Amino acid sequence: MRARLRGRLGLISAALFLVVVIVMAIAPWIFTPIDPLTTDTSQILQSPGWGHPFGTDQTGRDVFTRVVYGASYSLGVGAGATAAALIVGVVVGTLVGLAPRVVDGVAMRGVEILLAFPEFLIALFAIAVLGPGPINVAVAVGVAALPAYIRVARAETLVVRRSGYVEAAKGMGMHPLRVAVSHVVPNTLRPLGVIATIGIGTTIVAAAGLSFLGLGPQDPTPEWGLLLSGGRNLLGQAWWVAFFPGAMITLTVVSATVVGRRLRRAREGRRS
Amino acid sequence: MIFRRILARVAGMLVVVWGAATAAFLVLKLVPGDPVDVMLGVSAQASPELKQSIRAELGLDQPLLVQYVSYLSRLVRGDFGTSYQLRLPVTDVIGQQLGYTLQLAAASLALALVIALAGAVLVHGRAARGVFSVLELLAISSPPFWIGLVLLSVFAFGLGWFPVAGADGIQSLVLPAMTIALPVAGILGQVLRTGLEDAEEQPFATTARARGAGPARLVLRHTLRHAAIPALTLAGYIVGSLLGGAVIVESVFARPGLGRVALAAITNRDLPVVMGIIVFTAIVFVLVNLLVDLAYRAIDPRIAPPTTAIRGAR
Amino acid sequence: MTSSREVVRVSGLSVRFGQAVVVDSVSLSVSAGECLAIVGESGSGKTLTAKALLGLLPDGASVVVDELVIDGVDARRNSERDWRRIRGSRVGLVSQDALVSLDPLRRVGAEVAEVLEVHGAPGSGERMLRAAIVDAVTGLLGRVAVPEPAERARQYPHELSGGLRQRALIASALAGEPGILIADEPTTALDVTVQAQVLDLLSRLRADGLGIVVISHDLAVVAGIADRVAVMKDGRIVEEGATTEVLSNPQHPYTRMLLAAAPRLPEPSFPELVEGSVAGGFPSTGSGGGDGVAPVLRATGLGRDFRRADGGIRSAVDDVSFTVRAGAAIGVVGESGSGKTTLARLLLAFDEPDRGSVALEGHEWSGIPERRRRSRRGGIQYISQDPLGSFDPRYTVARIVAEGLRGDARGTSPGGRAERIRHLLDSVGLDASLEGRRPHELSGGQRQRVAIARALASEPRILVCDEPVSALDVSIQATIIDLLAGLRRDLGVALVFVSHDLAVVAQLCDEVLVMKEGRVVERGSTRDVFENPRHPFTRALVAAVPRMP
Repeated sequence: MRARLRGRLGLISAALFLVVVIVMAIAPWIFTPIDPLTTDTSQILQSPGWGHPFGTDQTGRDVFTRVVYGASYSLGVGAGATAAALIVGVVVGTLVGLAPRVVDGVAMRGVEILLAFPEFLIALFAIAVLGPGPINVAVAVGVAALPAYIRVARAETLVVRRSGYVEAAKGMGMHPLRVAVSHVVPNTLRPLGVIATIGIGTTIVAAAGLSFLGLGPQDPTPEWGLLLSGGRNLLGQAWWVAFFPGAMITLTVVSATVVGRRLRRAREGRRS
Repeated sequence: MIFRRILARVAGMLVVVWGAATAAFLVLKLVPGDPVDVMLGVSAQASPELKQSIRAELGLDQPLLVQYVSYLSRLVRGDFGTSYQLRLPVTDVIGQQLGYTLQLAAASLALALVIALAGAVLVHGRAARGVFSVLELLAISSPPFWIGLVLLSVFAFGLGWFPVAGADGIQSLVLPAMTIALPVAGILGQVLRTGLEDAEEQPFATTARARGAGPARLVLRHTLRHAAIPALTLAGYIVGSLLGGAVIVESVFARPGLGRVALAAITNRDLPVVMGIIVFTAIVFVLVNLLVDLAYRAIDPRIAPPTTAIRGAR
Repeated sequence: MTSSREVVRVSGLSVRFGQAVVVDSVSLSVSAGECLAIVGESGSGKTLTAKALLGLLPDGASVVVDELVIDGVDARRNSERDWRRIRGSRVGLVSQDALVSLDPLRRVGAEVAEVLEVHGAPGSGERMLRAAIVDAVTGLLGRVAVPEPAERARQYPHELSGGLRQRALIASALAGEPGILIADEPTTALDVTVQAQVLDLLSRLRADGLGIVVISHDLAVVAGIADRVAVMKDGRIVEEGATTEVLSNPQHPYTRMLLAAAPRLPEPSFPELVEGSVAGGFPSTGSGGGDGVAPVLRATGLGRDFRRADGGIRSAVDDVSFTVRAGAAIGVVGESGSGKTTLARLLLAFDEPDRGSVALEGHEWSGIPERRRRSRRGGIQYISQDPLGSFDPRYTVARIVAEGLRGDARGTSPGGRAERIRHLLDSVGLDASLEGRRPHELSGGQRQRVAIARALASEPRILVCDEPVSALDVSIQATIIDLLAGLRRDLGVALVFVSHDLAVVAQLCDEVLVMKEGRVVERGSTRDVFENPRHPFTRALVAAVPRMP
């Protein structure tokens, strides 16, 4: 009973936090009256306190404000790249899963070659091709996430295709196209939606990582990875400049993971 | 039969490496901009004649197919080309830095394994497991560069236990290795713990307990082996985290290593080095996958080719 | 019996999870050399009662017990450590399926040796040397009649046949020389002939002085070995007594219901086998040529091959021919791996034969493109063992049944369709209130009824049923069989009924095919085949079926 309540509490706070971050991304001015780019030489490297809850950086910019304004880029990249990868992944994966064996075999060898590389390295290589830049970072993390979605979409398609209910539908004389539309695709999409919820977190971290390495947006754009990177030279004197953007990324990713897992559990529970 | 399977396996490995090399070649040929400009540096205003002669020297004026064939034949001989920036053979560039990264990767892996195993096996009781799973979730969700910075500010700047940067001695390895190890340990620990819990609910675990086996024996002789199977599927992901983590961690802690080389090559468009690293990574992954397969066979005696229909039943 | 030593004595055992009482004041006792059977359906508390005797109840169970003596040890206040000392040395456990009850990643010998490693030598408790353990394991496997015990000990569970595996599991339970053996559904996963051998082994062990508690859902299985039977329902023992007494003169209504629901096979007689009589003359049953009507289904020389792991070829179905007349019920029996399911899939054209052909209602059915079959599929429908897997998990009952309606019904008004769905559910004995439920919210019996309703929606002429009642409790099983028999009678639907359970087939079918290794070894009217089996395999099969006294 208590464990259940605790789980509930965790889920509710995670969902609430996600809502707050989404609002930050859409309407950052609700949270802070200050402009994220305004420097103030009288307020350099103030530690967190009244007026500057997260402190200020070396040019006197309010870290809280910059973190709030950074939400739109990180969340935009996270959601946008994940959605794009999901859509392309589902289309390709489902087609491959339904295709004749030869096509499936060749396509999956290709995907396996891509899967042989860790996502972050694929994103790095993509940047090597596309060149640095905020848009390219989004494309790169999307491309990096794609092979995994293709693989899962294909695997799910095969599972559903071999399932008893697809056989039953066949046994009732249903047209394959109708079987695909009414059984295969909806049942394939379900688990992928859940995986994508968790995937948003991975994408946000990857994008922030590329920015951190200086391959994404450039100063003075408020972006979480970039803010962190800016704070690393100040670690000895002003830990807050790097700490709060990182904590924000972590909390966002944790929340997305908690919500995603909850969805997954709900789905698996229904199956058994 | 066995000989044929080994042959097929080796062929499959070569195909993956070849595919990666080809993809790298094709994609990097699509890169906008003239590599010769990269070689000469942005500031240098070289004459068109000089550029042309360099291009001819590198074979860049040849048709694409010719370039591709010569690229492959050089690869087979172990020649990855010459870095535009460093004017060194790519194999030397990688070779010089490999040691540092291997050291880091090995230390990270060892740390991650110890933490994950300790967390999965030794942590008992609902409350302790609950706390541990929250820690795991945090470790998984935190970006590695942030973990690195937090560790730095606490243990290097705050407490002064470890150096802030560099690569001399064990002291300088602890924080970078910890940075890479924590997220890996988080995921690995979770998978191991779930695996152990699943195995504990299997009928054979009940049978073992009915023979009087205690918790230690149950884990060591029975369930840990079962938990290792899902953990092995993570091997590719873990190696990826080690290499990807190296790029970030070497930058955060100002350590030499492959990650730094990769980052420099990407920002400077040093294409031969980028290609070399792609092919190197592909080789690493092919070998890791081979090891994982062998490990599966060692752990699970049930793995054998299944009975199949003569015609495709799909 | 009263003179011999008591090895288990339990009184007033209650187990509850929170508010729910799952075992309610159970008392029982077993003496050395005696076998007590606890019989009940799923959810009766029989398995939890057994687990309480080993101190293996799941977390969250709270136990109250007045008396709990295991092989002379008072176990009432046992700590986990105390239990560990008893388990394996004083009480052994044999559970249902050795494929999963033996650790699949360890060698059989290591599993049998475990008790000896934990407890030391039986009796003395001294630490045993490696070589002594190996010898002891070989001896134990030999004692349970595992051939070539030394070689078997080095193999993995999946490399052994089901019967050998179950014997190895029994050997591992015997290793510590316990006074009492708890056997939880010890033969449920086995073929009948193997089941008979394992039951035989258990009665031999009992004769050697072992006390045995057998847990089973099947009265007939325990009838042969149990001295006494305790019938459980809803956590209570509703009736207990000597086996013959309980079976011949049941007192409690629930016991009577169980006995009535259990399908029975008539006693066979075995006349002297006339050399070659089986091979020569198959009676031409179900040929249906006489009445001039085309049979619903005709299989001619069907064969289907699979490649084995070693590259060889195995014929899962080989040269099978038969016909099914309108409204006929034909049973297909055989042990696991005999090709029954492959045959069913060929009849349904879910798979194509390598040899021979199938004709449905006089027209070719195999060897034609699926698109030419599609419009005719409504005429032949399938009921599987696992109805849950055959339902899209997102669908409601109404939508599942609606999917089965034929094209012509789809055109009718929504009201007409709803009416038709309600009628179909009614015809399989389901209340209309279930329409909105999803498959996972239904009981096993309800799911099978929904599957039947969906199959009936297209007004088929024939139903192919693959083990449709095998996963169900006896009482539910009986109602589903009644339902199928009723449909056959009222709608004239023909049945092909694939089952490992001869008694069920005897109850429902008028003709039967006996399959072994892909071939039909005997066929005829159900009565003839089961009462006068002629092929040696059929004889063994019929003889192995457990019977009530």
